[in-house]
Amino acid sequence: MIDIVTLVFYQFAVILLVAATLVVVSKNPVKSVLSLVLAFFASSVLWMLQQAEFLSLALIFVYIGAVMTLFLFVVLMINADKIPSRNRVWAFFPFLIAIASVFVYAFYRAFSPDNFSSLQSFSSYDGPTMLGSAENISSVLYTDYVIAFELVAILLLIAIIASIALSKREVQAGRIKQRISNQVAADPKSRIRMVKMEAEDK
Amino acid sequence: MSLLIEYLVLGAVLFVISLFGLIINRKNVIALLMCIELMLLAVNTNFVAFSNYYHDLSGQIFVFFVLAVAAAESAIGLAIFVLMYRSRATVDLDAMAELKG
Amino acid sequence: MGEIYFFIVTVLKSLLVILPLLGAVAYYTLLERKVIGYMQARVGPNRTGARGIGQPIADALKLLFKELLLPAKSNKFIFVIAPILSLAPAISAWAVVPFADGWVVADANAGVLYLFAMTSLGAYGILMAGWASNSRYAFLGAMRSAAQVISYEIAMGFALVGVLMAAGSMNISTIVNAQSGNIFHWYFLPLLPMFVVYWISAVAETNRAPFDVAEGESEIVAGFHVEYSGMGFALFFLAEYANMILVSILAALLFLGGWLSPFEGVPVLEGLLEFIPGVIWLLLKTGFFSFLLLWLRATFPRYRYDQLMQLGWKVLIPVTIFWIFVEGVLILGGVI
Repeated sequence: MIDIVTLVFYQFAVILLVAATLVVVSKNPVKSVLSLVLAFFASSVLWMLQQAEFLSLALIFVYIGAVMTLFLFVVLMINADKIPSRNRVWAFFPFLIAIASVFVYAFYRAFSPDNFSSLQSFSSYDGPTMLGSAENISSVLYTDYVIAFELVAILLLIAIIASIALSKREVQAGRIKQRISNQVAADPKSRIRMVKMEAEDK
Repeated sequence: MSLLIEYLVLGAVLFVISLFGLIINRKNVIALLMCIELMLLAVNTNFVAFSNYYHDLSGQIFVFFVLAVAAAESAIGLAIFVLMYRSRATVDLDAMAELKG
Repeated sequence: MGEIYFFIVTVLKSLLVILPLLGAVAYYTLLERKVIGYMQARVGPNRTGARGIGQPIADALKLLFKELLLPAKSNKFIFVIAPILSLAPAISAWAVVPFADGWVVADANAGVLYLFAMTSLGAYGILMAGWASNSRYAFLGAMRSAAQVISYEIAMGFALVGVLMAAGSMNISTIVNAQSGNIFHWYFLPLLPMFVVYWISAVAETNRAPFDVAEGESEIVAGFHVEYSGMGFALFFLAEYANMILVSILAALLFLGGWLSPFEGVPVLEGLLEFIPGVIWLLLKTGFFSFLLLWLRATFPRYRYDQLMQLGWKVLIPVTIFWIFVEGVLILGGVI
């Protein structure tokens, strides 16, 4: 009897790999972005299985909710026919085989059960909360890692300023722009003129 | 039940897939950005798996920082991409060859 | 066997949430038409059943039997899954919503975080619908809606951070129980700016009037769902109204003490009103906010898009950041 964690792991691992493959091979960039969203979603489930509660939810709402929506925005705004074609995909197939075999060999050497037998395996965490719950993460983050945390905050601020500065467009000459002060300052007298006139015959 | 080996194999396969994507999509800026995100995801999966295996939060903290830095990276990357698309009307990396001697 | 038993119980619990939710959505649409009707000195639908009581059923049957139209040059697959992707997060968010002490499908530790994750998924259904429809109006509506939802999510998130700071937990039941005491112990008083910001951004998150620029029937006909007919349209409708009830119940849970009675600890009234179960209090509070959404729609004209963005980024977010600082000081001083 296979236990439910393993079952969920294999389901979502397959989803993750299929989605990742679609990201790479799909010709339509919108489909790649949506497959990437699926990949993130599947891996968030996989992280949840590894007790990373906070991170897996943060992955969904930071990555899927914000970053991928940004990707989707950009992709939707460009013309699909501007995407350069790649006609020599299969020419790279030998490289793929070479890379894959090197990686698989390296991982096999590094992660073979022989190496792990020397490592001690721990029993499952039985504290009051999950290992990666928000409380546990934040109690470490705000004490041991507080300098790194502040540095990342500054980095994000720099990223905000940089992306605004890069993508801000100057107002082109001749473009009609709303002037709120003029609108507020307008009074009826400057906008409409009442003319007294006699009633006319038909 | 830690499933460590399975997670590590999954991370490795994901990494190879995204590396392959970097090679075959090397003209398309947006696909490159997406493949880099996938690579980071593979690395993060390994970190999370090891963090659970050793019951040490350092791995998850590292993933947190990777997520933050990757978000900054993709925001700036997309801004540069939009700028490039506006001025060149293409997303082909080969069009950015002005600095070639 | 324990896992199978757990699975069956969870499915039954989910059904116990989803089925009344769908019923509530159906009758919420009738309520909307009736309320707005009376506010505009009309009577609203009154032909189907006694005083229009059968109107939602008639609407549902009509939508069910209508032909499903696929625009000729649309992306079929994405066009079909977009309404599903918009409804699924709207319903799955209800998994962590408690209805009384212990009445919850999943008493998750990071309940608020989960809610946040699920509501942020809603933008995908809209974006995909607008793009796959291959129509200018739908595309414009989708772009507007997605930008609006993302912008207001930040303000909403900061407002919820205020609640998390005050309660010291992300579990919604714990947040409600931290507000126990009478009405003056609820979070809407110490967190009044957060509460106002939460409510404004909740209205914007659900794309409701006065922030319904995504639909904007006078400008871009119906926005992202202009090409949808029959069940596709019905699913978008269900998602929108399920989200409306969700933000109402969250306002009640996070700021107005959820299922707690307002007269807890008040000498005479507490004993007199003790027979009212908590779930009734919760539903009353939720009903008030749901009514408020309809009232807003009947009262305010639509915002212009740039005004809407300005409000979100330049007013609501600075207000919440400022109040997080104030709240930190208050917590240090032991006031909250």
